[in-house]
Amino acid sequence: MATVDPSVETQISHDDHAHGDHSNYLLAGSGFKSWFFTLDHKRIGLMYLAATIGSFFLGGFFALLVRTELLFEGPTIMNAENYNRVFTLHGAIMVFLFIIPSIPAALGNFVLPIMLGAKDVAFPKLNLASFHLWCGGAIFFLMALLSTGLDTGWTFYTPYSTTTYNSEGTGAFQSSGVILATTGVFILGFSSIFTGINMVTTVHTMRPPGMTWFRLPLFVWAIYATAIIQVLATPVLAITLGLLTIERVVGIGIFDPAMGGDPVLYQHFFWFYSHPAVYIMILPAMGVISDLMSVHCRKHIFGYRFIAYSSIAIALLGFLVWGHHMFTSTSALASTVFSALTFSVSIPSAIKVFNWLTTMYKGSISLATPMMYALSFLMLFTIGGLTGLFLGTLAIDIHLHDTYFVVAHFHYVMMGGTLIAFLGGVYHWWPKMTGKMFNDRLGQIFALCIFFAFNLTFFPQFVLGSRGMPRRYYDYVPEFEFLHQVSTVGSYLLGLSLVGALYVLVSSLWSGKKAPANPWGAATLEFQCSSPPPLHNFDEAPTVGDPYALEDFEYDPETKGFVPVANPQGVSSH
Amino acid sequence: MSTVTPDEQTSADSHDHDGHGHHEHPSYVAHHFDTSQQQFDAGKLGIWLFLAQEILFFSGLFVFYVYIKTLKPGAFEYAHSFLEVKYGLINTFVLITSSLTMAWGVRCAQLNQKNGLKLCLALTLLGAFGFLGVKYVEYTNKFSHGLYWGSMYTHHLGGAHGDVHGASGDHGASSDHGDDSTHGAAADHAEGDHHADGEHGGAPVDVGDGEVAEATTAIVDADGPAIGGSVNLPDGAPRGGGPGGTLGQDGELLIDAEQPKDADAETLDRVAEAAMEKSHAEGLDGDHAEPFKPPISDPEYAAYLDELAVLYDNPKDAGLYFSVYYCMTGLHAIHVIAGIVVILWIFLRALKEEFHSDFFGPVDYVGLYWHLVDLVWIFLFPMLYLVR
Repeated sequence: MATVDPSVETQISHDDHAHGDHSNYLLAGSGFKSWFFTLDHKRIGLMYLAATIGSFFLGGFFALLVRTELLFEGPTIMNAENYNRVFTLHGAIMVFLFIIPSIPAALGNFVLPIMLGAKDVAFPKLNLASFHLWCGGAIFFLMALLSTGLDTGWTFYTPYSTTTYNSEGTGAFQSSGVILATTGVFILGFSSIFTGINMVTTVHTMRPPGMTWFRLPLFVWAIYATAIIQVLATPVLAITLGLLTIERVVGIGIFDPAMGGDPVLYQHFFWFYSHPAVYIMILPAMGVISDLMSVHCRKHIFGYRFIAYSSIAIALLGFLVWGHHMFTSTSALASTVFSALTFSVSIPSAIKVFNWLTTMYKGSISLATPMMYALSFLMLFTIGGLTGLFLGTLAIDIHLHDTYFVVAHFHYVMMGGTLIAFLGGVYHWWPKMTGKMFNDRLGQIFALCIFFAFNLTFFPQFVLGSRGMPRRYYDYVPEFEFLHQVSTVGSYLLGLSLVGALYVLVSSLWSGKKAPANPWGAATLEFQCSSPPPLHNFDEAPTVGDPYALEDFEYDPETKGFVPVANPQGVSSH
Repeated sequence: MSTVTPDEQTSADSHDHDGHGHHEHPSYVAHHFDTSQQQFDAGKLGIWLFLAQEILFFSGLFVFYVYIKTLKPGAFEYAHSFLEVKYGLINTFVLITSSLTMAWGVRCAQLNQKNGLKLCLALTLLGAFGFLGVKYVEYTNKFSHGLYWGSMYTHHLGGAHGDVHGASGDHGASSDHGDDSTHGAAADHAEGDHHADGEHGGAPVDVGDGEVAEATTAIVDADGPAIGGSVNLPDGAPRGGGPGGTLGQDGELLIDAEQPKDADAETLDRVAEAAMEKSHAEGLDGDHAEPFKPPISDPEYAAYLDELAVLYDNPKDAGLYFSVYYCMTGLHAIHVIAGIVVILWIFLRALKEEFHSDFFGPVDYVGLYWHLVDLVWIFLFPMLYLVR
């Protein structure tokens, strides 16, 4: 295997070709068509990034509407029916348009092929198709959500979803929106499936010589495990929503007891996808954190194999626990089995948390913005995960099921977990993607604001839930008003902080300093090419070594980035 | 990537005027792959992953099947007897043969036998169309006897579109599993109660040409649940409509009715009379005409099925079975159609002689897809046609 050539860095930066600026993928072709019909995984990743962030703020807007309604007892800004529509919109947009595609499609698409030293993903046209399906599904889905009276909740539970017809609506709201929305989700599902197929194949077939499985960055392991779930679980959602649609249209009777069917069957089908779906949400986030922890603590990740294996374990075990969403719909025996399995799936997650903590121990911890998010993740995800254990305990779940405790739990893991890791990843790879450095001080401040505002918003909800406040209710007894108000104030601050975090990134596009190839001193391959990368990622073949051999890189004050040392230690089998 | 020599370091599409040397890539290898073998392997893995998710796509329907097989065995046994094994056998044979021709086509491509490839793909397409043709015959056969899915199941009413004969005397019992007293009671007041039950929303309909089209819940027994798939929905609730019938005001199933009209005694009398005449004319005493019987030759088993019919010949039992049947075979047929589209695409490319022994990946992958479609049928056929 070739040794690291210290002049590689200079070679790359001087590699400007006169014909079509391939030194920088952002400049290779301009105009709408060169983006919307691109086959370049980097452009597709950026488009996904913009699209998912846009969806996030739209879903967030509806969240703020929900919180505003809950500011005072009784109807505040809307009636009960509209409240149901608003929280349905919030949940559906966030789950299907934002959180599931976020890290795999935006960051995964951009970073993974470069981490493998490849020119692109295995199926670039399929990648583009995934993105187009997302766009088409999103337009369809949004039209469905915004123009109809859909108020089933994002879970579309039967029998309400099969029989609702929204009689009191007027004009545009007369349609119940169920069929339109389920069709939109169906289309989005195939976007997810194709991304999964692409990622699995890319990791299997496009690794460079010398990059064995245990030389993969942990982010790649995470995306790989996620992709497996995407491929195996999403079609079950597709057939579930398909059967729901057929039930509405022609009345096959599958979920209708008067026709011999069973509404709980829907719940089984739905959660058989939707539980693995939450692992689609969290696994990539964990992958981001693994890389962030190592790099920003200047220390080799601790327990590489444990983290890698635990990703696969989570992916597999995640298929076995769907019943914990249905403890009140299933028998005592079934519930007991699912409860036990739920406890088992928490173990690999805990293993990761221990490994990250140990990575930090005696590391040289930098509090750059990505690391602020990584630290937030550690705390928030741990709280979310532990509270999941409470919910998995049958005797406790009886009291907490369908209360705000559940709402707080999943916001801690999905928002405190996935969103925070997503932000951390976006900040971490922002210099690579755009070639610009952001204002780190401002980034840190907003990261801290997000952390505090998040806790202010959602911690009271644990208390509310344990005291009996049900979820999806637009009104409540006076005892709950204070905590709701705390939560709502928190949510406004959270919204502002998130806008601030976005501002830091966007403003770097015009006022940010030029980014070096390796601003953080990572050892993974994506930081061995220029920032932004050339069109085909590498002009020179990159050298494959230990992805966490950080000692092989030292800070160069001239370029304000990291460069390989003269005598690398890490280019050996690990 | 690391095997790239310095000569080939530049971006792939610059091999025209770039001084670094022409790319070695053959035209059929995409630029992000290093070798033809890598491209082929990637494509193989990709299609296998796609097939894996297809299996999971069908899995929900397999669960639906298991649900009805284990929880409603009587309904399963009765309804399944309507399926004609001969059609299933023909389809199985056709599909397996088309899989053979498809595999043969892949082999032709590998061996550079371009004409052989074209012929095999054409034969495969023929098989696919043949399959759909047989399915068409089967489906229309069933539709003509009212063997629809779920709420549109009208077989117990004599079945065909707008061709319901006589009072629904038997049906009072069909949803009361094993409740014989109701059966007797229903039969007793079958005719007379038409008048009294007008208030139950048994709105009758157009009477003409001696044919009687009638609301099925003309008889709604006090002690039995609503029959004929009538679900109590609020006014105006949309529900499955179609050739079988629509749901009226109170959720009752109306056959070929336009509007639920108020029944007046005179109309009901006429309806009842016409029904009685018709059933007498057909040599049955007091009851309506028999609906289409399952095509069973063994008289003992046929008699047994007649007994089952009393219990299960209704939308929520046999109808549910047919929901499973149509969902499974319907989804499969959709995949056959999709297969036709992709095989046609490959066929057109084969006509342009795009495939040869160094490049036959797409033929291989489409072949794998087609084999999966065949495999699903090989499960469907015994599960639906053979298993009792």
